[in-house]
This record gives sequence, C-alpha cells and structure tokens, in this order.
Amino acid sequence: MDPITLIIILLGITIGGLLVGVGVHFVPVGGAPAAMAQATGIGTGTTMLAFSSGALGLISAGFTMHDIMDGSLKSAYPTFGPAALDGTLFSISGITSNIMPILLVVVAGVVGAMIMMVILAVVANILYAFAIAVPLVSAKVKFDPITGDRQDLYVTRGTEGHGTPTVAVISSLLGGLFGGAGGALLYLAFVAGGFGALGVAGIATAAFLTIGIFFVNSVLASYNITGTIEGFHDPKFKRVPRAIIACTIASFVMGVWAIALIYLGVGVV
Amino acid sequence: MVEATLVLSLGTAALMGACATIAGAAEDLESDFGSQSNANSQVQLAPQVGYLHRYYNKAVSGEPVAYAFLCCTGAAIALALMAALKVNPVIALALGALIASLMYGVYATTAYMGRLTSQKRFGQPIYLDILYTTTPSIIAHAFIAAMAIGTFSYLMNWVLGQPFPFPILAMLWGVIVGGMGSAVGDVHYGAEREYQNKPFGMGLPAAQSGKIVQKGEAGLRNSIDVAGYCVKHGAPLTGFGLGMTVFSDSWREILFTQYWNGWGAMVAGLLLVLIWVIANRILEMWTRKTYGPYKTAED
Amino acid sequence: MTEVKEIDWYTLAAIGIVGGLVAIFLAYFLNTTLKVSYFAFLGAVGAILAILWGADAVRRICKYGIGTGVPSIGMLAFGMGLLATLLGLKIGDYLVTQTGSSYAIYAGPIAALILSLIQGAIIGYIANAVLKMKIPTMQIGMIFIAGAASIILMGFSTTITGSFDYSSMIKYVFSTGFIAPLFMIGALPMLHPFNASLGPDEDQRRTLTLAVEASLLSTMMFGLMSLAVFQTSMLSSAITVVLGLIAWVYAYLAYFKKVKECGVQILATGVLPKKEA
Repeated sequence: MDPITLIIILLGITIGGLLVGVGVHFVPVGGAPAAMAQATGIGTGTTMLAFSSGALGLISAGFTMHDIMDGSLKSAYPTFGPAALDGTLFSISGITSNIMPILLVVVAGVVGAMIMMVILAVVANILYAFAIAVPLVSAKVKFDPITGDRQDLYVTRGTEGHGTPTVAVISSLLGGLFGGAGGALLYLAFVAGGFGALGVAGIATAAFLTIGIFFVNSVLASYNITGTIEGFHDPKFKRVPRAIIACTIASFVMGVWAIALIYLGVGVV
Repeated sequence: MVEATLVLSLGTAALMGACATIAGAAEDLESDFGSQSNANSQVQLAPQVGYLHRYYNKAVSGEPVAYAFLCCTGAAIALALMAALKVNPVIALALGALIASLMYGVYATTAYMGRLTSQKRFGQPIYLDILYTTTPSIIAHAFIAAMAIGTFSYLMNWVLGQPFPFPILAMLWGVIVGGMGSAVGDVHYGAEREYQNKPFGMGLPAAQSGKIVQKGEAGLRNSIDVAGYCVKHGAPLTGFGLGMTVFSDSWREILFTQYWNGWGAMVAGLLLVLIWVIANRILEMWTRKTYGPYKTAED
Repeated sequence: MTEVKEIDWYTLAAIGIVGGLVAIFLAYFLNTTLKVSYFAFLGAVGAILAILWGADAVRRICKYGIGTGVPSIGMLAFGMGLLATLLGLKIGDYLVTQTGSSYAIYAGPIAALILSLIQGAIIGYIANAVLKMKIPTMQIGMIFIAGAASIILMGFSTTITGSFDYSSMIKYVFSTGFIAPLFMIGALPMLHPFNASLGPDEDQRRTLTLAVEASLLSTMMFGLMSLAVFQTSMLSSAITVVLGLIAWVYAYLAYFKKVKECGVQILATGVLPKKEA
C-alpha cells in the first residue's frame, strides 16, 4: 500500500475522531437531573447519548456500504467494490473516482444519527408535556435564540429548566451530524485500509475498531464537558477548543497504530 | 442471508418494529424495578438526607452499558448454540437470553448489596425480602428485552442484509434501547413516581432532591409498586420510541434506496427528521399556551 | 478501629502483568504442544488477575469524583486497548513469518501490552494537561487501566479460541461477533466493583472480591461462547464452564460474607428503622 494512501487513511481517522469529539458538545445532555425535570436536555449521560446516535449512524452507514458493495446499488457505483477489495479506495485516484459513493456512506451515517437524536429528544418531550405537564424551556438563556420565545417565566423555580426546547433540538441535530459523519468516516477509513477484502470478518473488525475509537473520543469530550451541557447556546460550549486539541491528538495516535497494522497487512495467514 | 423481496423485507421490518416496541417497554419496566441509572441518583442520595427507603438500589453502570452487555451476551450465546449444537434459532435466542438475564440478575444483587453496605453509616439497612421478591422480576423483564433485541438483530442481519454479525448489532441496539429508556421512561419514574407527593405540573426544585416518597398506597413504597405505575405511560412511550426508530430506519432503507442511486433513502431520512422537528415545535407551542407561565413578566 | 492496610497498586500491577502474561503463555504453550484445547481456561485465570489490577486502578482514579461516572472509564480503557492489542498481536504474527521461529509468537502479547501502556500514558497526559482534570492519580491510573484492558482482551480471547494469535482473533472472535461481549463483559468486571460499592464506606478488599466474582461470571459466559470454536472438542468448553461455575459459587459466598462482616444492618423484612430525632 503506497505511502500517500496510508497518510490519507491516517487523516481520515484523525478527522473522523475529531468530528465525533466536537459533535458530543452539541448534544443537549441533562444527565441525572433531567430525569427529575430539574435540568434541560435529554436524560442520559453524555458519553452514552452521543454513542447511541453514533450507533444508529454506524448501522445505517454499514447498510449503505453493503448495498454499494454487494447489493442493490452495485450497478450504480461499480468502481467502489473493487477499489475497496484491493485497497486503493483511499488513494488519490480512488477518492476522485469514488467521491459519490463515499459521500453517500457519510450522509447515511449522518441521517441515521440525526433520526436517532430527534426521536430521543421529541419522544422525551412528549413525556414531559403529558406526564409531567411542564413547558419545554431552558434556564440558561432568556430568549430562545432560534424561535425568540421567552424562557425564564416558564421555568419552575429552583430548577434549571426542563424538556428540550427548539434550540436544544436543533443543537442535537448538529451533534448527530458531526457524530454520524465522524463515525462513517472512521468506518470508511478502516474498510479502505484492507479490512474490506476480508469478508464478514473484515467488516466486523472495521465496525468494532470504529466503535473503539468512537468511545475514546466520546469519553474525552465528556471529560471536557464535566457533567451536563445544553448545546451551542450553553456557556460551557466555549470549552470546545480544548476538546479539539485533545481529540485530535488521541485520534492521531490511534490512527498511527491503525496504519501500522494496515502496513503490516491485515490479512490472516 | 436470505435474498429478500420487497414484501419480505417490509414484513420483516414490521416484525422488527413490534419486537423493538416490546423490548423498549420491558427495558423501561426492568429499570424501574431496579431503580437504575438517572433516577437512582435520588435513591442513592435519600439516606444521606435522612430519608431511609425500601427501593432497590441497582447501580449496574447505567442503562445503555447494562443493556449493551445483556443483549450482546444473549446474542453471542445464541450464536454459539446455533453454530455448535445446531439448535433451532428461536430456541437458541431464548436460551441465550435466559442465560444472559440470569447473569444480569446476579449483577443486580451484588450492586444492591454493595451500594447499601457502602452507605451503612447513614443507617440504611439491606432488606433481604426486597432482594428475593424484586430480583426475579428484574430477571424476567431483562429476558423479554434481551430476547426481543436478539430476535430483531438476527432478522436485521439475516433478512434485511445488514453486514455486521448479529452480536455486534445486538450490542448497538442495546445501547440505543438503554439510551431511549434513560431519556424517556426514567423521567416518568424520577419526576412523577419518586416525588408523587409533590404538586403536579412542575419540575423538581433542587432543594427537594433526595426527599423521595417513602410511604406507598398501602404500607411502604417498594420498587415493585413503581413498575405498576410506570407501565401506564413511561414504558409504552419508551417502546413506541424504539419501535419508531427501528421501523423508520429500516423502512426508509428498504423502500427508497432504489431511487436516485441510493440518495432517495437519504432524502427520505432528512424529510422524516424535518417532520419530527416541526411536530416538536407544535408541541412546544401547545405546552406554553396550555400551561402558561409560572410567574408573570415584571415589565 | 484499626485501619486495614490497602494493597498497594504497584503490587497489583505486578500481579496483573506477570501473572496475566504467564497464564496466557501457559495456556497457549500447553494447547499447542499437547495439541489439545483443554487449557483454554488458563486464559481466564490471566484475565482475572488483570481485572484485579484494573479494578483497583479504576477505584483510585474515581475516588476523586471525575464527574461523568465510572462506566465511561471502562469503555475508555477498552477503546484504547483494542487497537493497540490488535497491532501488538499482528506484530507477533509478523515476526513469526519473518524469522520463521514459532517462538516469536510470544512477542505478540508483550508488544500489545507495551503499546497499550504507551497509549494509556498519552491519554492520561491529555486528560490532565489539555482537559485540565487535575486528578493526581489520573496519569498512572490511565496507564494501568489501558494495560489491564489489553491483558483482559488477550486472556478472554484465549478462553474463547484457545490461542492468542492475530489470525485466531480475526477468524473466531471478530467474524462471529464475539468481540462485542468480549468488550462489554470484559470491561464490566473492571468497572462494576467500584460502581457497585460507591459510597463513603467503600472497602478495597470487598471491592476486589466483587471483581473476582464478576470476572468468574464472565468466564462462564465465554466458556459457553467457546462452544462455537471448539465444535469437535466440546470438553474444553465444558471444563471452562464447570470450573468457572464452582469458583463463582465460592466467590459469591465470599462476597456475601464480606458484606455481613462490614457491619451493615441486614434485615429479613420490616418497616424503616426509627431515626433518632
């Protein structure tokens, strides 16, 4: 495998991990207080909420890539399958001739992640509206940046807001966008690195190594957030630069291990 | 894998959606029996503020991780039984789910004993009858959830053609169902049932944290009473959320991949997201109009 | 009340590294020289020693309150350890083909361990310096949990397949999907003990007893999964499961004894105790 392809795979892994880390900051996490209607956001922990949406993104991207390689889309994108099998998918010529299917897989990851995030937020809002009977508001801003609705009058005294207002839902979709794109990019990088040629074993390995790198970046980002965040309108969002540095370094190191593995040859003897 | 026609794929997607709905409801009920994850922080806090209780303090790592390990272990053992002993897939999935949920039950008991022993200075006792009566309910609901998730992961791999081996799919869907239960069902438990004596229609002020309900409808409140209440709203809604997720993702992939070289499925997905966002906005405006502000504006 | 002296974490690290590697090597050596697969359970013994090491390291990091909960640390450790372990095992296989000596395979786990320790050191540095978490035990703790994760992965992978080389791992652990439970119920015994014993009266011996109990549960599960690999010699799987079951019963009763010894009030049933006003 030529050095340019290896460098591109390394870049793919680094950027994929970085997108995951940044995406986690957009997701409105209420944590344990949200489950008591004490805080705005979705009531799960940061790491696992980001991973839930990334998981559906990965399933969706895996589906689409399978369709392109051996399924109903094989005739529409004939060069993708052979390029993945002989390891030239991420060479310069491989990328330029396969740009549409690569983009399709990344968008599949994005769409999967966004569907998961929106269903999580909205079904939780249905529960807040009918079972708890509270308006969906945030206590961190006086007016919702997107809809302009007044927030502070509708917040229960003593709480930090409840439910997921529109600005938080839009923020969660951005989180799904970055997380899904990052996950799909990681998966593509591993498949292009030679795992695509190993059949089911290779696909499973590529998927699980993606999950591993996803976890590392997701946990580092949640350490940066230390608890809960409401989205891009939250003051804690200003901590993103630290996460960018941390996730880039971590993903780069893991990318170095990955290309060392690809260089030695991923095939089984 | 089976060469699926459109009709077979859609039928499988419908079956998968039904399995997912049952799995979501069972997951939320099981976490209510054991008081797991978010709402458990209040149960953990209660003895420290002087409110002793008879809830089941099951602190097994948070719902997404717990369901991930439950479902993937069930699926993996099912795979092993199918491969080695040529057991029928349905029976193998049931046996795998059974063994995994027994393991899950053991984790639940050690968590209950461990957390309460580490709080002994607050005087919270370990009640053996809570352990004996609630743990079987936990194991039973975990079995339902594990078997349902194992089944639809297997169908996703075998009929719809998702390439990942189905234990990996079961793990991913386990994380998703845990996230759904934690986001949706746990709120019903935490905000409503745990604080049932507080007024309806408001969030929980920070000063009230830890002061959970100790007395039930008749006698003291146990975790078994919690599930009987949450099954009326929180659990079905969780099931609905998961069923919608499984069904929408499969449905848009089956029907629309043939249009525009695969981009049809992406456009369909984005339209779906847009519909949900608009529905959320309508819901938000409805709550503001119906419930009104807590205080009037000063200006 | 006399303070029970805690086991030093460097001692546990030595037990984990040396004991873990020796057990894994012994399993592989006995299996290949005697051409059987009955000694796969020794891989689980190595993993249990590494779990003790990892669970104590998790304890020491999380005692400072990291704000996001204990399970994330387990997932971080295994995410870090997976890629480094796979690379290390591939190095072992590569050296075998390059040098032609079959003893070069033993370099694989050592390479995997060293790469995981390096990875842990880098992530620990990032957490303390870039993310400014300022936890004193974070740097060494991260190194330890990454190394423990690596040995746990290799140990339980040996339990499933009978050997630790790269080809077995890809053919039997990844392609069947067993990597998912390997990751999850390999990480659980490391993070569950401290999470389940969280509180002001947490005690190291009780936490580590719980770690042994949880890892024996995992051993039984991996023994059942190894049926798919040892389809012709199911006795190997049976040995792992039966030994695991006997040891688990003993460990669970030992844990319950420790719970009773700690002095918590255990009631068969009853109403809430009367508090002094």
